[in-house]
Amino acid sequence: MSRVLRAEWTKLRTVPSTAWLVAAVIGLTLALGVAAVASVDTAHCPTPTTCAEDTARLSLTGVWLGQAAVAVLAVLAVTNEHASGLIRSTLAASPSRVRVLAGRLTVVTVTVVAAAALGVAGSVLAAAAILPSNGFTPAHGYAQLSLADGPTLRAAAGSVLYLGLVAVIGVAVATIVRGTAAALTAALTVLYAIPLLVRFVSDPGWQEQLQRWSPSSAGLTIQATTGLERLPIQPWAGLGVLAGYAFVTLVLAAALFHSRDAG
Amino acid sequence: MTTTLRPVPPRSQRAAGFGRLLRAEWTKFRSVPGWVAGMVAAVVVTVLVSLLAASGSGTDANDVPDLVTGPDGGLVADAFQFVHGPMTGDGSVTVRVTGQDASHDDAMAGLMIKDGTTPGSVYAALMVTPADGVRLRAMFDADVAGRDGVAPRWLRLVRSGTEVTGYESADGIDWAEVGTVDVPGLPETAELGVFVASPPDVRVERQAGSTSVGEVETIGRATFADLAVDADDAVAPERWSGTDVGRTGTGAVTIAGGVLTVTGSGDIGPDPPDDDPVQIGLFGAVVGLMVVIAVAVLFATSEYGRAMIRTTFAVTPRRGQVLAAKAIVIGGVTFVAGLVAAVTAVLLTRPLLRDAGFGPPAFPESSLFDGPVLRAVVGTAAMLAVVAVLALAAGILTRHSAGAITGVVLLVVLPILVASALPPGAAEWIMRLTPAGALAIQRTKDPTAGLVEPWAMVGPWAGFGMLCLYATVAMALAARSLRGRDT
Amino acid sequence: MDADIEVRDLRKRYGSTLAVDGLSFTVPPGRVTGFVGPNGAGKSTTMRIILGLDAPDEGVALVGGRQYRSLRTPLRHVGALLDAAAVHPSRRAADHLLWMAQASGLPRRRVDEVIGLVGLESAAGRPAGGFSLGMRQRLGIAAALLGDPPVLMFDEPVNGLDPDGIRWIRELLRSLAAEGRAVLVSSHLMGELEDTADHLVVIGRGRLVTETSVGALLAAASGGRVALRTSHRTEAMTVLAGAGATVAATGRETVTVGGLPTERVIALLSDHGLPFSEVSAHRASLEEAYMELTRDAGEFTAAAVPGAS
Repeated sequence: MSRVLRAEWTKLRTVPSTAWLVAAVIGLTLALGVAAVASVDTAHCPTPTTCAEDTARLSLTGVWLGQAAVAVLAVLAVTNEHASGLIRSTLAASPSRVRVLAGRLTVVTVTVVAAAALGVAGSVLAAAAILPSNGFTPAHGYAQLSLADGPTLRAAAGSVLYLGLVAVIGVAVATIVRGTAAALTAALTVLYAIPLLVRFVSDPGWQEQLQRWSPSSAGLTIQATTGLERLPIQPWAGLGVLAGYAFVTLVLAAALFHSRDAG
Repeated sequence: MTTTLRPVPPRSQRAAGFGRLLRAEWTKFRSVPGWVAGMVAAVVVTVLVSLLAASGSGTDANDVPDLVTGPDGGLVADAFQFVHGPMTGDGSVTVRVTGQDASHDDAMAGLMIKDGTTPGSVYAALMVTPADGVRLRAMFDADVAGRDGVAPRWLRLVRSGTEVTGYESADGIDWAEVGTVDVPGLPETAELGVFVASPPDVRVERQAGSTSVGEVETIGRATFADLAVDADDAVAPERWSGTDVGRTGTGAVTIAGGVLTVTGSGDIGPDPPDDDPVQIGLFGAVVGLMVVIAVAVLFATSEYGRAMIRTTFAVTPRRGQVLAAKAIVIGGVTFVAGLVAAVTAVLLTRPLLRDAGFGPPAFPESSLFDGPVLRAVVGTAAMLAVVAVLALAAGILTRHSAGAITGVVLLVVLPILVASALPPGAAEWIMRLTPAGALAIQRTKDPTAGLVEPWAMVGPWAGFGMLCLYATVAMALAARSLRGRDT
Repeated sequence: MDADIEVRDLRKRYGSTLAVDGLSFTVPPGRVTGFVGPNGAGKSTTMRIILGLDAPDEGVALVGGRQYRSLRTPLRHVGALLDAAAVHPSRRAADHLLWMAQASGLPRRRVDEVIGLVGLESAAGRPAGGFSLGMRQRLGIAAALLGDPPVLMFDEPVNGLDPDGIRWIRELLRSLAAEGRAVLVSSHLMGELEDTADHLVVIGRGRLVTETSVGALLAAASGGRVALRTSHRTEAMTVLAGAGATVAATGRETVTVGGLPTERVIALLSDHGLPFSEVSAHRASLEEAYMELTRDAGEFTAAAVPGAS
């Protein structure tokens, strides 16, 4: 197995786009997070103490953008091989397909989780520095944002896991679909278009069900630190829903990868 | 050295050349089964998601007690403080508005003639406002602007049959006509008087994905003097009585030293709910958009995948024209597909939405060919087409499918998600500056901050125009990069 | 319009690489001109510049006296096979030719004609992605012939073809030239052109090495040399070298002798009682002539004909 891992790592590392995409995961997460935090201050609320802003969640807004880079990285890690025909060499070198898939999944996910950890931690630290100057001070009833705080740590660590699961789904979908454009469009639809539908459906009953069962909306409840009682699904359960989707697509991918001709 | 250049061919010949290019690019598009399937999928996805969105939508706008409907059957606001008495036949009334509180930009104080005091009945009114100068309004939709400026101001309202004419004056000596409005259905005996209204302030709060809309009442106050009625058969102003039309509960009238002081709240005008069933019925376009982006990007990047572009440019060395032909083909194909999807979606979702409460009077019946509905349906197709052109240009510029698809999806969709989690000010700017605002073309109603959908804050053409601007700039960059580039 | 290609003082630099360096040559009508040089010598770059795909830094390339980019329907003037793989894999072969015909204002039946010409009738309705390399070459050649152009360019047309295919292409090229067309065929293998080309343009490192007819090149390369077969190779070489000849062993029993006429070689060997089984005027192959040339050019001995072996 370690041979497969090393081989997969070498392949991932030597694709020029990988380094860019890792930088994008970190940079985009951080950039949008900082922009979102900087655009909100207590002056827009009737009084500074009634903003009801979930500052931890606000600081993690960048995950919305970082997940695009994660999806591209995961999809390209798979489809590049199919496009170039390299997959035949890969399978000739290590005929156990499940091992190849597992190896690829491991290196992609570990890479993404490492990058996501940097981006997410950076976002929280940057937000902690910016928020007080925008009026989110203990005097106004907002605790200083800190990773030492239980719910904030859960939101941050959960966001890293969320991005890791996005990578798993990206690898699985790309293994199923094989074409870059089709796989990426499917992944981006799940990550961006379905949340739109969830958000703008007006019937409360429908909205609650959709929030509970749509992969990214459910998964991102892990970022909530206030108003938990009003959530349609609790944070860890929400992340669990996403993990369930990841597991199902992965099993399907493994089954297809095992039975199909290398194309 | 001498290079023989052929003389420029006549215009008709050049047009024929471009026509050939269009046919060639169309053949390229239709001969790749995946792209044709993609366009069909975009239509199917748009219709299905629209149906899903319609099934998941509902409204209680028709279940509110005491709905006020105007003469055309639509919902209206009709609440104000009215000090009035009856007048039969023609006549006129003159007053000096000596002062008006700036309780709201659209606060009103002035003269009115109305069919009784029932909310929703026909009327004509001449008023001063703190921000919009003198206005002559009638029937909840007619609105004639007079001069700018605020109280004090003389106003005169003249009735002749069902026509009502307004005049204004700074000093009561030199009068200027504001205009004439027709008030069909105004009875022979109508209520004549002075009125004061002041609309509520709308407060929208949007935090971390949740939006709350609140209304805070404002109280308007104005003072009137030199009230005079000139008519054969009218009750004199001294015997007028006050009515709190629409029962706002804030009205009051006092008289002291010949000066009438009136306070009142409320608004007069059309008041349809912000929810827009046409937009809900077109919601699937956002998801269909994803497929359109992928197909349009591939239409561009497939040229580079196997150096196809060399064949293309060897066949047609005029690269700018190749790009234009590609844009017209992908834009045209997308427009037709989008139109089919939009018409189908609107027609199929209509009965679902009516069952879910989107019916008259709050939501008057509309035809596909009503102006705003037509704009939304054709606009949806146009929006998809322009996004396709933007995606094509992005594909030419990046020559990389994954990068171009992701970039365009983020440009069009991410701003919506981010904006709906930010306060209204920031959200509105995001909608004004990104192509995401183009979704406003799907709305048939006026811009409002009262909805969850952030694009509802911008007007239909503002958002669509910004998308066109992005596409134009991207196409210009793509053309420039093609011109200079070795293949 | 004249059927010829004229390249004058062409220079093209990509970053730090000088791909074409002051190249001039002409391709006249009515014959097959071979365009030879090792991989990386600048052949494809020159062809791309002729087709207006890349812009030269200096110089000019004219087709029938005109710059390619000024042609409104270029396929009627020049047909080119550049890269046989440049076909969308899910597009049917017939559709690939159809869009090119439409863009050039050619009638639809022309597509069927060229498909018949290259013998792809049975495959025309299939996606090009499933084609073998040979079928793709035929499709590319069909595209080049589409506009019935007076000038044709083929970049490495026999790559990946089987012997039957190679023979087919040679005959096609010769018949096209016999119809009065100018035909330019590039190759990095001189031998491929030996039976096909009448005329050769040899380039190396972006420069013209020589422009000559095949016959003249062979004659120059064989230039008065004698091939000798003898069981006493070493002694024979000593004797002949002593008489002022340049000698080179080419095998265990074979020697090439330069600088002496055949009769003198026979006389010397007989005088010294050395037996020989064969003495003949040497006939160089095109490949040898090419090696000779590139050695003379001196600059790229190490890089000469990689892949030729």
